[in-house]
Amino acid sequence: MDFTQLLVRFRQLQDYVDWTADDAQRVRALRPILEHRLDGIIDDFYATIERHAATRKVIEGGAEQVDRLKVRLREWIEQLLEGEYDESYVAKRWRVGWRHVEIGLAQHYTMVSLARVRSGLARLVCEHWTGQASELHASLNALHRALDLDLVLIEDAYQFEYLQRQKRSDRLVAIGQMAAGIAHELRNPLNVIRTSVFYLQNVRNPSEEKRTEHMQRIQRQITVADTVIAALSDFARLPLPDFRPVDVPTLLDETIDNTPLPDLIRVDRTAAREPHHVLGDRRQLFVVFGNLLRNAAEAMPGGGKVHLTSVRHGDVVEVTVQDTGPGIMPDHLSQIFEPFFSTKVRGMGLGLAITKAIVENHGGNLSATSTVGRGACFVVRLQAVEVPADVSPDPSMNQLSGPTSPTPP
Amino acid sequence: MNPSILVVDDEPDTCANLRDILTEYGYRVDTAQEGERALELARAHCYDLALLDVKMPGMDGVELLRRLRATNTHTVGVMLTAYANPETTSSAKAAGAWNIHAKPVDINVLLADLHLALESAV
Repeated sequence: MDFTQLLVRFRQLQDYVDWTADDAQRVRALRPILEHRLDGIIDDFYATIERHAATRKVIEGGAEQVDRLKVRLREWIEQLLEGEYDESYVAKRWRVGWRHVEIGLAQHYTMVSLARVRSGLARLVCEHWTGQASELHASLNALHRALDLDLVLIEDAYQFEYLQRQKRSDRLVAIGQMAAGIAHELRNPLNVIRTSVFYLQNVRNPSEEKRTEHMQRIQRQITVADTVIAALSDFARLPLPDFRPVDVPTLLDETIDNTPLPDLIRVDRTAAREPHHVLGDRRQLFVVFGNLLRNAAEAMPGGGKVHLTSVRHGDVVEVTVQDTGPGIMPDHLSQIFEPFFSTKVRGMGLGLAITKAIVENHGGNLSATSTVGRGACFVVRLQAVEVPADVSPDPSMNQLSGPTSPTPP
Repeated sequence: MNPSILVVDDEPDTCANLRDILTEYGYRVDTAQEGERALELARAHCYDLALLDVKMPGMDGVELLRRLRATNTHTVGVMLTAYANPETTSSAKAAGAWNIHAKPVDINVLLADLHLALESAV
């Protein structure tokens, strides 16, 4: 979970509701009125949860749990009244939202529970206001907007979970779609094995040469089948993407440094060196650019040059991988991204299908053009993202979450 | 004269195995790995039967069958496929195929079917 990006969005939303330092000050000023009068609101909150069948069931630990939760709710309200709306605030509020997602409280109940808290706080402010009547309105206004912004953070947590579920579902759909291709790719080797076995079983006295030929053929096709299964497993095991801002020039440098290529291949990097970012999963983008680099190298078994460029055009970052190999025939260009397109053509097979799937999962696209005899050109287009200079990533907030873990750090 | 069969499959090992088996059973066999080469062979010799893989890069088996039978109307077409589904079957039949067999192929069933196909064509 990238709290840096969340903070950027939060600031934009604060700006949208005209939130000012004055508003924060007003909320802080409410603290003395409210902090010793919260019992009623807190008790009411949990009494209401208890009263409704739909919400009651998320409380599994009885009175003991409710007591603990009441302490948390008090802390939550007190933090609101501290009036410090920084990255730490945003992260903590988001995590509270996430906690509600985890315990399985439906989003609408979280919202109406917050509405009860809001009414309770507003009522207390009005009842115990000692300042000027004209200031009351402005202070209530500040309180309401602070709570609205909190709601945004809670909704973001629900949205995050929804997106994770969506990605898992998309992954399953992609694997399902590959099933037809996989069936095809496994049935061909099986066919060879079966026909070789038939030959060996039914032909009278096959020559030693023929026997060896068929045995070797069987072995070869078993290896082919195993390769298909391994590639499918790799794809199924790809972790769900964890999106953060990634500096493309840095990533390309890392990819080149960490992708072993034959000596005769030269990589020519003429990318713009100024940082430009995309929102993406660093590990998966590494797979994308690594695959394209390897494909380019494999297209030039006698050596050659791979030209790698990266440039930002407005909202889009374009990374181009160009080789000086024999190129791809027009007939094949439309098929190269299909899973298992011709396992006999080196460098294709599952690699490009996976590469394309990753890019599309990032909301981007991958295309290929080629002139026979003049090499092939692969272009990855991804959404550019701004990383404001004043927002610095806090390492403790931005740890990578584990693969498919439902709980962000 | 023994019947002649043209085997077309993009997988060389499949062609080799079918050639080995069909030769053992008395057929004269030629093989090709793609459509253009198959058509070239068919121009030189009118095959009694064409045994074709459906899914191949470039020209697929059904298209190849259509073109083969356009010039060699007596050639019986039998299809092999790793993707057995109703669409493939109906488009193969529409192109004039005698039958379609799913991979991995049951050789005994295939041999019986080839025999039947050639008998019926006479």
